[in-house]
Amino acid sequence: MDEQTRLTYLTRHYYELQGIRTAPFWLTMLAYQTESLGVAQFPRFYGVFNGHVLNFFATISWVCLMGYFSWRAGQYYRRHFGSLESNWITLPTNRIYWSLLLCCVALSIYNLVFLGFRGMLPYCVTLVWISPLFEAENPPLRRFYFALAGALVVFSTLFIQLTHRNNAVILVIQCIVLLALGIADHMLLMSLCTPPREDVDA
Amino acid sequence: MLENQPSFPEVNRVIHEPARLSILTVLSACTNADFTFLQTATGLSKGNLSVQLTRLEEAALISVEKILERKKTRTTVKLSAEGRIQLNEYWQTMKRIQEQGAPPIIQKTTDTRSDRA
Repeated sequence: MDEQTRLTYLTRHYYELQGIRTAPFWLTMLAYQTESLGVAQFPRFYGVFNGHVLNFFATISWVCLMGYFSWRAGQYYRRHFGSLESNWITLPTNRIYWSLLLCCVALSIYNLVFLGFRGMLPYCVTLVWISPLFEAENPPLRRFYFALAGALVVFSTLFIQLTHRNNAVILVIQCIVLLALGIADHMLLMSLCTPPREDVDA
Repeated sequence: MLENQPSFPEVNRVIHEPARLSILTVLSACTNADFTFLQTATGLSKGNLSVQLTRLEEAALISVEKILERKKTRTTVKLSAEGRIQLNEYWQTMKRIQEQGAPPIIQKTTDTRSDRA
């Protein structure tokens, strides 16, 4: 990647590469899903308080805490990497991607409305978040790890559905993968930033 | 002999400097950027970046705005309309130079052993 391409890419995709910002959200989802799988258990004080009321307040506090962590992550980026204002909206221009997404959404709606089957939804969600794979502007490394993550989620979802295992595992895998992608994006952002140089004439 | 050499178009010297070109490239890809981001993207030191920004501002290629935020000054930099035109012209000039063909590279002999002999 030459200097001009690197700088333009970094500037246009700066907020998109701030992967740590979304980490608290995926952690929240992961915590709730692991609870439904019986891996982790949130403390409940049945008999002392009404279970539903306590759950409601626990959820609200958890969301607030994760919102705070996300805000702190934003502050970290602003302080260490700076901020910018941009009008760029990076949507994939690839026709194959849009055709694939459209087909998947249509199939999901059909399955949901006429057959009552929700199994297509994870594929739609996966197609939405693997959109960087179809953007030619992205460096090959980023496209590769999005492709790898997408393939991992699609095949594991297919395996779970065919073997009739617990569907909550699908969400757990999605959360772990999205968390890993956030970290990978953060590392890419770090690698795109130029190390301090003193050899330029003032 | 010089008559046979292709005449290359004039290049804007203010933009042609690598550090200033990096700053302008960043600014051309966004509405505005703050000082920290420019430092992160270009890798320039605070002093150097400040000098380059002053030069670009003097050439009316950028506009610098200082905002007071929580007792701290935040510097935001924006590419001016003139700057955008000049930068586009610069890239067109560079493209024309590339199309005309680069001048022959004079190779230097760096073999130290033959020098010693």
